[in-house]
Amino acid sequence: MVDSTSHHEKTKQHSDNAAESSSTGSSSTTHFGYETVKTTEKAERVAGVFHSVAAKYDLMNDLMSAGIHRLWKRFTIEVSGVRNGNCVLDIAGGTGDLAAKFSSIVGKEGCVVLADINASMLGVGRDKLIDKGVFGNIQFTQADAQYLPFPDNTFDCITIAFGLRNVTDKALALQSMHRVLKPGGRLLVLEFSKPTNPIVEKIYDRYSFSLLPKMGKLVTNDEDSYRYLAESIRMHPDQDTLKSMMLDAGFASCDYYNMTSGVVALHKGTKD
Amino acid sequence: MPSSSENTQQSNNEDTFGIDPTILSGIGLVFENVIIKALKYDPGTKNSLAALAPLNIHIETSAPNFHLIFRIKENTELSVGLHQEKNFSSSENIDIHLSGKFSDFISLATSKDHMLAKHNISVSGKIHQLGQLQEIANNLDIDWEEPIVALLGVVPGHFISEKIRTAARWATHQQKEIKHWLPETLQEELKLVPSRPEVEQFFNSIDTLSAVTQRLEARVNRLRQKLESQ
Repeated sequence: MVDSTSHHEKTKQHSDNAAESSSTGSSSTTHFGYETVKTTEKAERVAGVFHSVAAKYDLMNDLMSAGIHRLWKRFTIEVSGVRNGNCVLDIAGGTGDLAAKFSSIVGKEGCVVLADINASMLGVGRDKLIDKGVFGNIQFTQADAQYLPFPDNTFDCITIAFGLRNVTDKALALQSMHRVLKPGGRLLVLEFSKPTNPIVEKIYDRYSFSLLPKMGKLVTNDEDSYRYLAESIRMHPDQDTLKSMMLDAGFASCDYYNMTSGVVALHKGTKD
Repeated sequence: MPSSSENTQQSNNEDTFGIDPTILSGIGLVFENVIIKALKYDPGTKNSLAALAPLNIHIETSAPNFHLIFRIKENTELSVGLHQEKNFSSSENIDIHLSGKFSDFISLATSKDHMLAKHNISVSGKIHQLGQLQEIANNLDIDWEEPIVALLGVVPGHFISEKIRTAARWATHQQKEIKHWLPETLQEELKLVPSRPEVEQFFNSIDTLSAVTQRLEARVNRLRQKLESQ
């Protein structure tokens, strides 16, 4: 059994290390879970994780969250305020859960771009959506969230669900999203966060460090990827830090909604 | 709850118990699935709804605060959103807006009288469409035999459906019968409850006794005054 206190200490220690590395001016290291790796290596290692889990990503999502991820995504769609004729970018769209729903909402007049840096995830997502009959107003793009290949002021809404924590330079990615959003457009960041209830936090820690890797091993035969998932969640900025990062990236306002006692938070930023 | 304004957040929490959005999304999903399933087995109603599309209905309750949004799209796709904050619907074109206390909506749902004004519910927007919706709801006829047949096969499915139908008819008949003979049995046979004429006679006797007592009181008072004056 893993002691939750040790995780907090580890998280703090690694955050401090990461901060130290940037403060020394080297800016050449970042975290990959609890590991400190070279900045140039992170994208490759994250890609390795997702190449490994892509085929059973949906199954694992359902197993890990007992299907609750569908409710988190449903709430995200409600908050997005996307309407008929809107143009939506779903970054790190993975297997296309959000993109499929957006495609139906925006209709023929609108457009949805499903972007993911990982070709395996994008491939699984594209096949899944085509099999479900979702096509016509949806495009698939392999793109890095830090350097989005779109003109300024293109999208009415951008979503990134469970993807931001895997991005090497989150601030750069947020700036890039801000750039491609239309004035008045919304960015929605759905991401694991810090539980607000200490009891939930303790249960969640035990679950994610003890049970999750074992489930990963059983279903995808990949324990390490799911250990990385648990570690990357702990290394991800908490609700208020992410809010500050979004405001720093240029968003005029930012609100967040805690879901399932803060296990997941939805940040909504609006561009002026 | 949004974090942008702590005061608003606190007041909202007090007013609405601060239900986790995950739970509200789950309830919304259940509502949506129930309606979609029901419409699947009543194509007539589904077609009637399609004729009204696109239509957005916003039900706003107070004490506690909830925002229930029904969206009927042109492709007869239906979605339900349940929230505690108004900003979800602010960017939408709402066709019909109903507002009132949560308890008023419950009383409307459980009452036989569906006059909104009698239940203190305010309506704004395309009221004629609300009338059409009421008519559609009144004509709702779900073919519940279809899912049973799909599950068990045509012959056993139909057989079980017939049994259910017979049981339902018997239950309805029994309910009417009970309504008819229960008062009679309680009043006439068991004498547990007085009949209406008995009750009326009893109240009349009380009224008479009260009048007589008042008269007697007046006479006593008059006699007392006479004695005092002598």
